[in-house]
Amino acid sequence: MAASPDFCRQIEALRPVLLKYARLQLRNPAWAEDAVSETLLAALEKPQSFAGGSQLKTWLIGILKHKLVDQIRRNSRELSTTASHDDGEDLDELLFAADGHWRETQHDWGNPEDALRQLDFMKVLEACVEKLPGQQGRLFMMREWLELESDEICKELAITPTNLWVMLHRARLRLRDCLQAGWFDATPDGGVP
Amino acid sequence: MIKLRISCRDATRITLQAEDRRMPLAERLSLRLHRGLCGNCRRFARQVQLLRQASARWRQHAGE
Repeated sequence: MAASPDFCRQIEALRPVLLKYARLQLRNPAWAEDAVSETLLAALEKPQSFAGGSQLKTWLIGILKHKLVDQIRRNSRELSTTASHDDGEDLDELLFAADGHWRETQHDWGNPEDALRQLDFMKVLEACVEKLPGQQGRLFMMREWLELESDEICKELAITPTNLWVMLHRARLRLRDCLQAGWFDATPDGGVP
Repeated sequence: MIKLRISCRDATRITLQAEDRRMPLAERLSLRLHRGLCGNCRRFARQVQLLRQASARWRQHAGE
């Protein structure tokens, strides 16, 4: 069955948003282009498998997630060799004194609902994920966005569990710092009411 | 005998690792005890929880 002109136009309009997520996940513009092209092609070849009930974007994101895993698998060798060169600084050293205590008082972020229901918060979060160093961002996205289990990630990228935890530890500390600065410090009523 | 008293640095490591795997009993116990005594680590744990909820919301937001 051929896709209707209307369907084609809608698919085309959603390309930028798919590309945004593909880039966040893969951290490689060429691979991201490929994953999105494969997604759009799959959609155009099988428009009948789109059950009109759900949103077109939801359906496309679902396809994209599979294509992203394919892309990671295909490039796993390159991913594991480039992995450890982009760690960024070690936040642990900045956060803790030699005796293992926090250097600074930790902030109360208040009621999560206050922040989470705001669209601007999602934008700040997205910007913070984008700022993560390459491999940290990739692993964080695999875990939190593709929702892969730790052992699956280790297998796909041929890394050890310890290596994965170290990278996710750094990614989460970095995100926390970024949200503290970009949201909770920046919007006085966004955090503590 | 297991080490019951842990530092904030260890508590942070366990808190973050618990996002990605089930931690051994001894570490969960030490963490609970530490959080009972340390306000900074309690607040940090709530930050991590918010981070997790935020990721879930963001994922959902992508599909909408």
